[in-house]
Amino acid sequence: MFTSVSGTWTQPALNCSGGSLASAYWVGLDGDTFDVPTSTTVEQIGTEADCIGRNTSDYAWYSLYPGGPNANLSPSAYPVAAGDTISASVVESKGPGGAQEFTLTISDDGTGNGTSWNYESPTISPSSPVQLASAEWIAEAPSFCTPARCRTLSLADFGAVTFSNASATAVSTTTTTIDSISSSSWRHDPITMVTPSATASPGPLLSSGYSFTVTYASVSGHGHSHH
Amino acid sequence: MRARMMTSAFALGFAVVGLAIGPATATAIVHGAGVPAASGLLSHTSTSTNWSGYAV
Repeated sequence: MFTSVSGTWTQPALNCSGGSLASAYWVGLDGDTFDVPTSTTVEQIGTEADCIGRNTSDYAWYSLYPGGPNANLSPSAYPVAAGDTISASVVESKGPGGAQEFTLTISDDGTGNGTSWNYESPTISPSSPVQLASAEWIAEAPSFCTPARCRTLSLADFGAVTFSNASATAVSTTTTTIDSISSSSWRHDPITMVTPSATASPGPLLSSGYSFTVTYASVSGHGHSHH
Repeated sequence: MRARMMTSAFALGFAVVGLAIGPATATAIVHGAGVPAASGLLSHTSTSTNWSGYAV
């Protein structure tokens, strides 16, 4: 099982040409419902970059889904801007009685806006045990959900985002492995986002599996504006 | 799941206005969960409608 995941990325500068568009960048555990269809949770931390018209909105967040907590970090206390180098991790540990606990951390070096900061979440106990079955490094179009339904938001044009220092920890009864995405200790799967209007494709693993770049591409003939 | 107060442009563009400023779980931005849509499991080169990257 995976007990930690970490990674670094540069908050991208969006090309906001109008409309409400969204993007998110995060590391997490248990989010791979493709290969682990029984997983119903995700423990994750990252940043968001949204287009609101021609303006951008950047902030950091973390979540244990679905039991919570979920939190947006105050942009005034923890400002995020394009060009900032973001490093984040999710770490599972054992609390009293061996119960699962999570600590989520994120830092911003302030390259883009001159303000550096570090944030560590309170120790979080999930409402029920989670599987720790996968680790992931993700760029995505988040979804907006009401109690009745979810809708995937249109993906903002982020150009490209590079993940680096991507590592995970896996433990068994006999060994602990800390390694990159391409470790021989586990199988890795690239995931490409494909929608009628845009794609986001992960490139090859570089730097011994510690780095890759996800590239946005619009699909010809489809606009992004929502009205 | 993480919640967003319904004061953003998304509230206008994507949501039901009547749910504005609800409890944290009433409306939310969700990352990587609750939105199934993938194919290509056999090839281990998956495609998705909402996310990209690498999983191990």
